[in-house]
Amino acid sequence: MLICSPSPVTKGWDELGTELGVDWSGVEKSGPSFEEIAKKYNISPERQRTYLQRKMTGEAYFRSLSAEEQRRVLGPAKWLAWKEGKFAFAQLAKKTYSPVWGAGRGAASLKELLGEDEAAKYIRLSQWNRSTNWEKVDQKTVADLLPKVAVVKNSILLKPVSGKFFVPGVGSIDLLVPAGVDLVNVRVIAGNMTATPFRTASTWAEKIGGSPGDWQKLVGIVDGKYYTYEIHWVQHNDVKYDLKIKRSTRR
Amino acid sequence: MKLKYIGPSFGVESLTDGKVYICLGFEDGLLRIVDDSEEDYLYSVIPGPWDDQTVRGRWEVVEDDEDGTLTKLFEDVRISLENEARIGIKPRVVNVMEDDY
Repeated sequence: MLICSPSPVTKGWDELGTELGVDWSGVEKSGPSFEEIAKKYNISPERQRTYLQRKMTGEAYFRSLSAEEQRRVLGPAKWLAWKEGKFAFAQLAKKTYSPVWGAGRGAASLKELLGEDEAAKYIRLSQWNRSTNWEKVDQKTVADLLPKVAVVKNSILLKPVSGKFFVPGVGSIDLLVPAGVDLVNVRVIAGNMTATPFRTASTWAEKIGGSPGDWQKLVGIVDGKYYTYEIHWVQHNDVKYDLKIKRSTRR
Repeated sequence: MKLKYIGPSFGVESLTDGKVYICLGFEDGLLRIVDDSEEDYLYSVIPGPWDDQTVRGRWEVVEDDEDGTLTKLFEDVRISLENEARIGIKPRVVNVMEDDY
């Protein structure tokens, strides 16, 4: 029967053999040496010295890595969330238990760290910033990495938009944009997913619900046959609020 | 130019009953109003939420320009609506996806 357990120290075969009373002096090392690893992963001599001195905690060592290295280790979404302070470094390791292997340690998933909705949000964010040069943004916050305006998939007008349009000397016309019409070129211009703050998000959260950080202000276009209409609205959980017409333009 | 909205308050950041709003002008048949969001949007001369026809209020002129633009406009609106009511004709409904106006 094989029993595995985490050990706070690393010992060579010689040391283990002495402790267990077994002669393992002739057993060759099975893994690559630290020097071999350092060469393979291009770890600088300075960092090798620091590592060998073993004066750093795992967190301090991780923080000493470049943004690109950190991102490669954690993955883009988890790195973004960590960078924004959504969880502490220590939370990355979780205790596990298996009836076969017993107690152990494992890496906590983003979903375990943040919950399903927040995890999905950071995965989307990291995808949007795929082309970013991470070395250059090392010192920036997540808000700096977000676009000023985020392009999102087109949407549909779920309720008809209508109102009285008045032409002096002619009279009134009831304008109707029917339900089911496509809203195209939809963009988030403030709030969640953008670097642009949504000034009154806290008012919306207070009056309707949710967290202020989840509210968004969006813009979309209705292409009428003769006019285009720029529609603005506020959105939370895919529900549109306060639909307004910003401008109408003759095509 | 300033207009007072009288009617049911609607939206979180749209129009509030009894509140005076800055009107930036009358353009393309609609009024450009700086509403509760502190941004300017187009509102009808018969104001209400664009996505709920059941809520409608009215405007009252508080401050007009030298030409009396808003006073004249609302006088036109009043006459037009009275004529429509008197003759019994309903205003033309324009589906913007199909018709011109």
